[in-house]
Amino acid sequence: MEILDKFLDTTGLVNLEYTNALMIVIGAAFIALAIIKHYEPLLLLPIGFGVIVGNIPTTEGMSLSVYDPNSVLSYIYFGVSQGVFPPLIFLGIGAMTDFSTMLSNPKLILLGAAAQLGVFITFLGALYLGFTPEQSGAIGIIGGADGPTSIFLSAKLAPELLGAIAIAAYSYMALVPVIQPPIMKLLTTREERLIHMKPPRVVSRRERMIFPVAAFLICTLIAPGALVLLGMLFFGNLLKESCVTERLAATARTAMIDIVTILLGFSVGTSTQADRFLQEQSLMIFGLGALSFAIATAGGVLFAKFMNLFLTEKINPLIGAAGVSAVPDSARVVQIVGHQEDPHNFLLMHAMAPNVAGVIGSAVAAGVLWAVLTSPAVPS
Amino acid sequence: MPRFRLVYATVLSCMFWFATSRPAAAADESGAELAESSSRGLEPFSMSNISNASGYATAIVGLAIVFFALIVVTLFIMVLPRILASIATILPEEVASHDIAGVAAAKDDPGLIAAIGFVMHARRRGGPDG
Repeated sequence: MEILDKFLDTTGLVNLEYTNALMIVIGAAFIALAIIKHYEPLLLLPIGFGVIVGNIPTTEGMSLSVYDPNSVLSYIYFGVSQGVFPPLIFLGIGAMTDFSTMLSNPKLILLGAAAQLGVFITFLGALYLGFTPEQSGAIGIIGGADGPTSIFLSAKLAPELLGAIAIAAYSYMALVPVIQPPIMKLLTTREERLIHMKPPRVVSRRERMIFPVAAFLICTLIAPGALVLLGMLFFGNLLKESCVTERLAATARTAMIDIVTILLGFSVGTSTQADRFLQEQSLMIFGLGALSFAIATAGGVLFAKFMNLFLTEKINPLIGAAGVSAVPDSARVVQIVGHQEDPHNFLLMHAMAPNVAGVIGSAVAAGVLWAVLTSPAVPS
Repeated sequence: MPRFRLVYATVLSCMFWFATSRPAAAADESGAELAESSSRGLEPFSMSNISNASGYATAIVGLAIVFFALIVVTLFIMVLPRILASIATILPEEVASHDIAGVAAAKDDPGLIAAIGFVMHARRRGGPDG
């Protein structure tokens, strides 16, 4: 009987608190969103199941939880906590990405830079709300609309907020079709939304091969903090564009990125234990995340309008919204909004330019924040 | 589907309101508020938090560096075709022999062209998702 009592004391049912139950419901909701509504299913399903796994109460002395030393989950989580998984995801993204539209119209790259306004305004907002500079930098990068970059930077600057930041970043990426269109319509006139752009020129193979090497050198010599992310991104792209390593490129953009996505999503989910996740800080992070997406969208659109003041061949300011990264969802949103105004206006190809530039821009922004906020010269 | 997204967005907006509606309560900086702030590990809401952490300078310099890096990339891409055009007079870009052979073979077989077109269309539909 004593043994049975002892065993019963270790069961999850006895130790389950209402906060754990709430998190399990949230995890189940993520799974439902992924399966029923197809919201970022590749991410929300592993994260959702990870949330459920991470909130089953464990017994003291048994090394089970993601935060217990030498537990199996802690070894998987190592890839997140040490920033190993995000660069591997970038390798796969690089092997998938076609930079041709960006190379054919390079001025659109600036829209990817303008959208990083969301990162830095949110950084200020987080400081105002009382977060430390390191935490503020990690929260601000949510505005880069790039999940791996957000995870990478928060693992370096504010690992205690990693779960909330990752969940916020991926939630808002799923919400791009909700957040962006009202802002795009609010900041543009109908005449601007009707602007047609010239089809992109054909880009030579040499240009496509030289670009990843040159862009890597330029960006990382300016912001060495982006070395790992951009190194993997451009390495993956070179595998693709060189046409001599097709097997490697195919592995990077299929099997490898899938494996890393499974491990990353699941282990991020397991890190959201109720006692660490259900805090006022998490709510603030969700609020700031929404703010950062909105500001990033506005920054891109307004900068496109600003560029039009000087350009003879006007650009459709809607494509500025694609500068927030979130590849390729924000480019799709631009296409949909443009198509609503004029069914003969196809903006998708043009929007892909600021979209991939946004990936580079957010990685550079992360590198800058990492360098500046870990420098001993900055008061904290 | 849009209604579902709207509900999701509304929930997140409420969270945003809850998170950001606290500054008014924090303005008086009562002892209880300070105690609560320290218990959650945060400073009280204040503009001085930004200036104390050199926030404005960090934000301005950070954004400027992002712009600078991407402007240099832009300039390089603008110059690249001219550099390659001048190099092409010495080292003309080769067209891979299998490409020529493939085109020649494909011209003879309309069915193959249709199959290749279908595969390319299918692959493009499953583009990057990150």
